[in-house]
Amino acid sequence: MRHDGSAATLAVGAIGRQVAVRTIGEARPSIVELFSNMLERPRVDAVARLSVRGGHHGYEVDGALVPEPLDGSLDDAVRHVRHQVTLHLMAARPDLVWLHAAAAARAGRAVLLAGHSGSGKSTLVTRLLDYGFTYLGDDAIPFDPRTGHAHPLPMNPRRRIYPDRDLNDGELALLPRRVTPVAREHVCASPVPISLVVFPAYAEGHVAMRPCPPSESALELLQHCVELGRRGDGVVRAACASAATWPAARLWFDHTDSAAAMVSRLHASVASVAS
Amino acid sequence: MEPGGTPASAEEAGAEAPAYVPVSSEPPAPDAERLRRETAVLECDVRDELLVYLPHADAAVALNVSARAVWSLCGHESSIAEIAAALGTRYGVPAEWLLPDVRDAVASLRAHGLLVAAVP
Repeated sequence: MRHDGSAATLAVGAIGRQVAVRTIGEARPSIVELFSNMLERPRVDAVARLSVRGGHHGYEVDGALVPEPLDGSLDDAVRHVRHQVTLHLMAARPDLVWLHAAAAARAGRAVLLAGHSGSGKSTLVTRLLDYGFTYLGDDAIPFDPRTGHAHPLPMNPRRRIYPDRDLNDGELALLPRRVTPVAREHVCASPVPISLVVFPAYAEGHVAMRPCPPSESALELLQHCVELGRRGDGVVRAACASAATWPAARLWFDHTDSAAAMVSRLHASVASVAS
Repeated sequence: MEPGGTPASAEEAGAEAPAYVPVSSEPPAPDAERLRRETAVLECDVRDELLVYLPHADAAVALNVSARAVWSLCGHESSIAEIAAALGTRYGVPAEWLLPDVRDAVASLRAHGLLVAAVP
């Protein structure tokens, strides 16, 4: 790794807050690729400052809200920066409820795809763009419990690179990821009311969807609240109130095109009922 | 009749089961044993169902309409027999018809840590 002096600071913004990310030249293209839809004019009131630099053991990141060991690779440093930017923004906006979810919007209404890592959120939300949706985010989505609006956090999706063979559960988490840039015209720029929640899960050999009852939806939303345990009652009440309002469905799939078509049709039917 | 929210059918084998289910090894309660609710909980309406959150365990349980009815009758250190009698009166059916379902519901509520034996 070269320790050159071509460091630059990027201003990464969302939800009215900004995180400054200083990065050495070699890492800069990867950071820019990740945050290309969140780069703003720098402000003096950035909520945090991260720094990606070269160290004795490879790439290191300073300024983490929750430090963790890195393996020294650029890929791990980029993953860490992505996570830390999210955490700093979460800390800056505790009035929002943060979900481990992807989201996309069409016709002024958002569909939330809430699920664990490996459930197919990134793949599905990327494919929804082919159905006229705009992109809000693929990993963490904040929503305002007072308005029910989802806020964009449009870091570019990091999709897993699947080999041409079946995988076991352990292998899935270890698959390398590739950033898939979303064109700016396909990014949703402002908060959107959530009209549908989908809980995706990988299921080999079939695509199926069924309604998710409100109490079950509340449980799922609680599971995917990132700050559960820290804010307690407020998050629980928000999840329950939201689950009572938002139509929800479970989706099992292993074929993204079919799954995206189902989500698109359901979103359209929900939107037409709502209007 | 049991608390809802946990997918269990073969159809849902591919789904991720909610993790908010603490496991208890408590034996089933006899019909006359008095039970009380775990008090350090947060209850939230989800339409006509109820979500009960246990902050100390960071766990949540969804109660369907039937389980909610049983839960609502456990607020005064009731026994299974008394709960069945109260529900029988409410719905105009003999209490013994409801006993098996009430036993199941109570066992499930206990397994989730929502009911404990009342201290005499």
